[in-house]
Amino acid sequence: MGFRSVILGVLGLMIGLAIVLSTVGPQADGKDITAIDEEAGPSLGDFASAIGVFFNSDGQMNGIGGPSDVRLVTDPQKTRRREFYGWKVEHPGLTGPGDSIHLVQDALSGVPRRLKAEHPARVLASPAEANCQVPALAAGQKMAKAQVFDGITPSGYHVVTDRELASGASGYVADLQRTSDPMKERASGDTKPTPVVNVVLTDTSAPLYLVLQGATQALLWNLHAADGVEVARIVLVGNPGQAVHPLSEDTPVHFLEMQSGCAPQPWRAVASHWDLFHRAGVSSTSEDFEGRARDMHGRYEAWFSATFGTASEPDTVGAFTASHVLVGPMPATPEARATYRSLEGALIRAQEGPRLFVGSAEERRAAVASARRDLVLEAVGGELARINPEPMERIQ
Amino acid sequence: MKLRLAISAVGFVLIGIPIILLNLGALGLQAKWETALGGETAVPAPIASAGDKVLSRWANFKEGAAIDALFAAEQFTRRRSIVVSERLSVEAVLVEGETPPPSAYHALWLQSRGPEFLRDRDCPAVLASVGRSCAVSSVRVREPRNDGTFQIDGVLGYLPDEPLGDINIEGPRDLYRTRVEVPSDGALILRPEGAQAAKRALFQQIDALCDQMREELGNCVVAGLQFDPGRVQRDGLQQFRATASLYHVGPAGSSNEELVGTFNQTTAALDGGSAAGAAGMFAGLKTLFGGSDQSAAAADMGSGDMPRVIRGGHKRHTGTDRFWIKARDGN
Repeated sequence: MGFRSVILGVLGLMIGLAIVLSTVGPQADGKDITAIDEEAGPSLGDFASAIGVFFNSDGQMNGIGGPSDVRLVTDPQKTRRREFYGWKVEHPGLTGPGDSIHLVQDALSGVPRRLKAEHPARVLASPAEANCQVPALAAGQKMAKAQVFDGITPSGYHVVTDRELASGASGYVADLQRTSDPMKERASGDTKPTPVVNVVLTDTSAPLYLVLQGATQALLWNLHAADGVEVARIVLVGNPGQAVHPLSEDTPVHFLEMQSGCAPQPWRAVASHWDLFHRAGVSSTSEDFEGRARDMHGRYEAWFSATFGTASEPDTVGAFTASHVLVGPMPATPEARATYRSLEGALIRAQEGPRLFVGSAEERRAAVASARRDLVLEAVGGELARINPEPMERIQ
Repeated sequence: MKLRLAISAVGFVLIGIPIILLNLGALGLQAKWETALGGETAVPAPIASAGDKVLSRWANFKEGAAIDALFAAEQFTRRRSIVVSERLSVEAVLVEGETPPPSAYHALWLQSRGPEFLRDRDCPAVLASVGRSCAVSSVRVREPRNDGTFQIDGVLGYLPDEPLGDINIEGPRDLYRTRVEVPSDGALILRPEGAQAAKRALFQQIDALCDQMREELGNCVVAGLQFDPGRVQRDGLQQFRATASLYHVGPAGSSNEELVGTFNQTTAALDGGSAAGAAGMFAGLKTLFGGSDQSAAAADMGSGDMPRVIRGGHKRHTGTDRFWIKARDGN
């Protein structure tokens, strides 16, 4: 056993490890990858931290001090990076007014170091505004606007639209047609938990009229308030299933839905920090990304002004993707910070329409699977055997 | 010492030999391409020859599996397929009086009920021609079109209604394919109500061609059977064609031209029974379901009017699709 053997052995081990890593885990299936590791076990970042190498939550390598472990992050600038249409701000980054960036623990006491899915206990669902109108801002109230295109942090709340349930059910049927074995059911397409966005409220100047805007899938907004903050009304703009964990169960909550045409897709004003202005090759393509983005924002801005009587910009807070947004000033002292409110066991208010599930990942998976099977049974007229009909024989 | 030797030997067998074979195969391919392109190759002749043998053995191995799948008379197999592709709306799979589901569920309804629908619609023509038993292997529903319809692609399998012939040939064997289209000239043109009858007639003609080939060459099987209904024309009539691959196993080394020639000679040497029979059948369909002059011309096939051979030759099977359709209860 010489030095060469040791080197070869180590090399072989590394190659073997790389092969194993590439063939296990959700990525190996090639589909149904949830964007978020809901049931986070030790991550690649955790192992990497232990040996002095740093990865972000996507497994991408960062420089030393990257956000794989929030205890190591002291520079909030390192929690955000450019996305094509805005910032991506990762925990523990907190984006505030004027695109300011902070650490969430400086504005919110009790926030977990490592975010995990928290499971609401109940959903109080109500319909979207049928006439697409919401009450106007009352005298003495102050409008506060937050917009996040998409979330990052998982929640124990699950929104499954008819289309997603049908997609999963079609996959289930196709599996049955291939295998004839109902036990071979694969989760597909509809198992992504709803991302949560923490809204840190520190503005005590007036009762707040909150307008929370999500652009892609439904988002769950979790409100955390400093002493003296009052929320008079909440309006959610986004997709069916969008939800909020209000400070009080009595707070009026209104839903404006994109899909039914009540609202266009929320869109921020074009900004020079967007990666579309920095990414190599974008300017040489025939696609007019900037023009399209300006159009999208123009459309949204016109709608917002007509609906709320005020423009959405420039005082909307948020990012393209984020886990935490700050509405109000940064607290001057640790005592002035807002207090973290866990979603665990909470009552949330949601827009009805899609199927809404709360509970542990297992409970939600089981509930979704049950709904999927019921739908398949309905699709085949109650007889599962019709999925794989018997061969037809020639009658002599 | 003995242990290290044994480990080395096992390592060589498990890793070394496959790597050597892989390299030989790659060099064989390189030699083949270079020779084809420039007439000479940089690969030394003995290595090129060894590589060619490796490739040939591998191809034979795969081809053997393909032959087994095609000629397994007692098993449904995807190789012996009937391919169906059609645009359907969800109403096609609803029972009378049933309320359509919400639009988000239309694809699911088609995916779930599609197999039964295709079996009931397409199997009768299969049972009236090539098969004694017919089953649906797979159904795939594609994205919806603007008009709310979906393209649905189905694969059916069948058990042949008669022995497929002897495929045990002395010496090296190859699998040959002749892709044919019927009618040979134009299409069968009928009113849309005649679609099922047209399908049955065209499938029967293809079955008869394979029977002739089996008589002449010893074996034949129909696969890739496809019924192709055209669009309904302004005059309310529709064109119908069918295509199929006729496979047979023969001695290795026959050229494509030889095979196509053999096929044409085979069908021409016979008395044109199938063509004449088909002509009669097509004329009958025309009487029942109407038809155009073009249809009449197509139906008026003489004894020398052969089905159109689209292409033919030695068929090397590639791809990784599964051969076998899963066994169902009671089969």
